[in-house]
Amino acid sequence: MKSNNQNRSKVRGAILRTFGRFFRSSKSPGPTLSAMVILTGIFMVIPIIYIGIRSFDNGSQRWLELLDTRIPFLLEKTLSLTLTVTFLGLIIGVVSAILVVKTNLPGRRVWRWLLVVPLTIPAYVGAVSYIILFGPRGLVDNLFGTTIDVFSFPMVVLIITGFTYPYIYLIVSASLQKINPSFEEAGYISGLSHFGVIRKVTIPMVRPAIGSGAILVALYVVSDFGSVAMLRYPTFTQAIYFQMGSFDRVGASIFSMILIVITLVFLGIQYASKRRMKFYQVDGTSKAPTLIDLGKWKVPALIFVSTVFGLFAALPIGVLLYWSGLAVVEGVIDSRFFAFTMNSFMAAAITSLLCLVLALPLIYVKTRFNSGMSRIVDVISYLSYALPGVIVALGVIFIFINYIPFLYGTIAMLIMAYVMRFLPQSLQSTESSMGQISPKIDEAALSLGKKPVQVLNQVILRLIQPGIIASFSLVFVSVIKELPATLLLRPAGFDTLAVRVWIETSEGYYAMAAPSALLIILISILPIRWIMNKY
Amino acid sequence: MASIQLQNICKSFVKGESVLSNVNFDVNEGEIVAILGPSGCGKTTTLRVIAGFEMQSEGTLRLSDQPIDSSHSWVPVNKRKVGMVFQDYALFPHLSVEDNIRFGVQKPTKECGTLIQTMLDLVGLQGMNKRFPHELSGGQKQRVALARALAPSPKVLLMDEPFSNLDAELKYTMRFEVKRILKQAKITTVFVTHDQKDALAIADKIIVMNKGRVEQFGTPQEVYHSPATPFVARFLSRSNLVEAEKIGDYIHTPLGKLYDPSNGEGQGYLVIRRDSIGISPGGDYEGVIKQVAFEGEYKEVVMTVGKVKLSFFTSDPFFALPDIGGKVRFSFKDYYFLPEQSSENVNESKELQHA
Repeated sequence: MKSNNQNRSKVRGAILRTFGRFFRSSKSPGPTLSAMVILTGIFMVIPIIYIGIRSFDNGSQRWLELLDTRIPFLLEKTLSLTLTVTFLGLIIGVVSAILVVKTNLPGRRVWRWLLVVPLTIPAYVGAVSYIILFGPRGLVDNLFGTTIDVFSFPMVVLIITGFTYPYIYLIVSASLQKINPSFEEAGYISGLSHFGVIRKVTIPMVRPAIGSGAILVALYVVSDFGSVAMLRYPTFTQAIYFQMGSFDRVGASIFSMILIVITLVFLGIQYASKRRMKFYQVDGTSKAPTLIDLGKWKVPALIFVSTVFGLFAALPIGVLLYWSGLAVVEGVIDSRFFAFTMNSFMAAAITSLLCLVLALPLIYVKTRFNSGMSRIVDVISYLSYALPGVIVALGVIFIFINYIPFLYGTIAMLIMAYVMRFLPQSLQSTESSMGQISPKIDEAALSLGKKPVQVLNQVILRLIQPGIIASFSLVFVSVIKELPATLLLRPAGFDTLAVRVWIETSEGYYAMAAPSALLIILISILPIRWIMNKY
Repeated sequence: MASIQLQNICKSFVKGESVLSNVNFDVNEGEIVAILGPSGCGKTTTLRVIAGFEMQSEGTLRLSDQPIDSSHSWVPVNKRKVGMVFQDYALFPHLSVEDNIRFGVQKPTKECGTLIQTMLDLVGLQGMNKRFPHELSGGQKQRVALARALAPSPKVLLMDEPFSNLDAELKYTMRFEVKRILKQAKITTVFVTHDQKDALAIADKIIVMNKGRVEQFGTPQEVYHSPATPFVARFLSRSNLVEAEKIGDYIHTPLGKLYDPSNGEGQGYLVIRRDSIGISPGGDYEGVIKQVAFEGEYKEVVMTVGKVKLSFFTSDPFFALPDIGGKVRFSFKDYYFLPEQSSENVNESKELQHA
């Protein structure tokens, strides 16, 4: 027995030397990994701290000035849009989730997927399609003259809701599927009708999911730049962007600080609601849920889901297809189109790889060691929401001007901003697969006589392969879709698909915007599997 | 007057595959009836038909003499006034104990207060009003589930595998508790279980089901001591069944001829319960010990006599059992003859023995 233990510790010693403490599962991750975690943490936080410092460049005078004038206006605009979109998103998301999961809606299995499609359309691309349709010199404008003002508040709300409600829909339907049917049966046996059961049993049981989805939507609205900018609706992100455009970096920093506070408040609420969710989780069951018979409500329900799908998936994709067709006929798709497609792909591939390289050791620390280090990793992955693209871009500009001026204006700035924004996604998608490998599995492989290298190759990397693929594709797609940081940081002449969509739409060349927008959607649809699994 | 009456109830989910075939039984007011059977025997479906979660394909269900079937009215679950305790209790996690109990009660809030108090007293959970389900132990959850089901004063109470989620010790105490609560509430109860001990300990009557059919319906003593079919004999007491033929007053078996003056004639089984084999040096038969399992208060022994396999209990601490492979002499303290059922049933019981 004793010699056995000695052998094991010898094996362990060998592993530790080979892999820099990769396989150890004591309390502390060791210096190499700790340093990596701390450096990544600093890398994520420094730009924000810098923004905070810069916001006081002119003392508090500028703060007071803006607090008096622009800030109340932006606050009112931002919050009214956020609350209205969240409210409408709740109605669409919860109703469609209940219809798809809990009722005998005809074709419910197909609808389950169709209703997620709008999530793959970035809100600004969705906005572009509506501008093409209803905007000045748009399709409707040309045919019937101006009818709907696409830049009016109700239309802005409708458009942004249409491309964000799937967050609520996905989280709520996942939660609905987990409800043990006994709860609803207990409701019926207590004398409730179908409607009563939904109101008094089903909805209260998924309330944490509803809250969680609502906060995701709210966070999206306050931090998204592209959609509000294209729809000419003033919010903090848009104000930061234009302040930077006129080189007022102090003003941009002040707006950024306010925006960070808003997102932190939302994050706080979300954190609290996630903790409450634990009590609500009930053991899964093999019993199939009984579906509610819609009866005469079948037709209205079908109209509802078709309208949602039609407005926020079929219509935008159709419009873009039509204009892309025109573009092909007009010969707009030339070598330049392929050039900025390549730019997008290259930036996306580099970022995805870098994120993986940074994420894997961090996740190793998080899943193998229960220490302060793993909490740092958690904070890093939460920061994604608190860091809208415009703020990241601002921080990156500060860092490069002050510390690495020789790289200013190169693609390095862009990649750094992307990594800051999307590392959290990489962390989240690798965590689930890494978390499933118990340290016992390493030990089992070692006890069967495998060398540490073989353990890594034959076991660990194999097991986390799905996580690696998911991480790569999610980050890849996010980079392709990213707009504000790309606009602000790209080297001169470095146009990407997203940038082209922005420029052509701003200038009204819809036929030239459409192919890029369509390509972005097509690429975004690819990882839908992982997007759906995330919730 | 029967509270619940099942008349020729049949149920099939897929055409041609019947889950229930011709189920008949009456439950009288205030009685506790257990539906006992192996998994997949249709016991839960029977319960769900009574509750109204499933509709029978054929036959009539009467609740307090109100007929429910395709030719009369189809009364939906929420109008049946039945109470139900779910296998996993299904206490609403977002509601406190008090609000869970209040959930099905349609009464003004004022009267609710005393009702909730009465219910908590009944199930022995005084002072737990404000707790939430995740703060309760398994036994407490079951008590709340009972209180919630009883609070709206249902005409009948249904329980689905009420003890399957409890550990052995808790199960033992909760059996007594549940029986006390049900008797104190004077509620007509039907519960489903796969554990014969639950059924024997609590029920006034037991329905033994197998493959969608009722094998026997009787008091615990009846089903235990005089099983009507080979299946019941095996399932309730795991009795030994030896193929036999009865001619006149004698049962002819591979073990020899046994005297039995009771009625019955033809092919069937010699049934010997596991507590009816006594070992003694002067016993009538000789067997070879094959397996011995020490169970604490007794030993369970399996032996073979020729090709016949017999199992029995022995609790005599002074009798030294031979080692495995050793020989032992024994006699039957009690046995009886069970005539063969339809050939279908025999095959089924054979399957069960192999399982």
